[in-house]
Amino acid sequence: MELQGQLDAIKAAGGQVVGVSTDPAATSASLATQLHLGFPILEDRDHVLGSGFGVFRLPSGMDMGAVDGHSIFVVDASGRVTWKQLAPDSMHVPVDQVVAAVRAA
Amino acid sequence: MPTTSVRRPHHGSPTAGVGRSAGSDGSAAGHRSMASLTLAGTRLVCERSLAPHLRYYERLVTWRGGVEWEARKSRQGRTWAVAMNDKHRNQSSGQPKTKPKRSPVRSTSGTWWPYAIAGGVVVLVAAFVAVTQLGHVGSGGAAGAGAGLAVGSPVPTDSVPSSGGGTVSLADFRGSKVVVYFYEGGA
Repeated sequence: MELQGQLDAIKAAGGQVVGVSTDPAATSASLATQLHLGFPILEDRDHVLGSGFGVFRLPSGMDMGAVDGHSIFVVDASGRVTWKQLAPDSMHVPVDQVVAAVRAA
Repeated sequence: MPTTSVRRPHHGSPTAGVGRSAGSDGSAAGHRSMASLTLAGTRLVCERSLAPHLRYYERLVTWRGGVEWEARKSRQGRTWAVAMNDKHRNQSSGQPKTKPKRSPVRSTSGTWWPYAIAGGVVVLVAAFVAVTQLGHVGSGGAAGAGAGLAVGSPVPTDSVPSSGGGTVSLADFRGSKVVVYFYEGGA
């Protein structure tokens, strides 16, 4: 969770972070505790968010099945997408770009 | 050890000691024109007149003139049999002087591996296409195939359970910028 390392920068830019996965909230809570994450992880078991964001079952080289694909969206204060990156084949998080996008949002 | 070998750690060509192989390793035995040598720790068997020109790296054997050679593992184990590609043989006429009509390769296996590699590639491509197409069928969501929610679009505001307890909607973040990070769970 590279975003954790940039949480302060994101907050300084007026942003917050939420993770989303299809894992049960309890599983994610334990992950968040282990990794000392300073942001919540939402449970998207029925992939309402994944489908709404268009990232559920992303075509990917990694066949992960019925899960939300690895992707990042920056949302502005009015609730609209201002930046996104879909990277289902990579676990890389371009934190610099994300922070810049938050600043610009 | 009936064979005198020159061990070269790098890509230099052997200058001396290319011995005539006989006997023990079997792969080159009984053929008077074959030589056995060791390059970069790899044992090679090749036509004797070609031996001084060989350099070896990985699976590729090159000749001083830049011609690529095939190296094939013989059935006898760690020994590689070396022969010039036929197409290259024509390009480099004269540079080995001997141009036997028959392949000097001592390996008893045929050239099956290029076909195996080609077959494997075909299977991989087919699998990739299948997975990709299935993904497209599965995604079918608001944003179409794999593009994600468009910039400028309002985000979904469904309430879902949060690891922090209770339920959370992205609507709760109105008034604040938010980074939404999706990742593949283990479900």
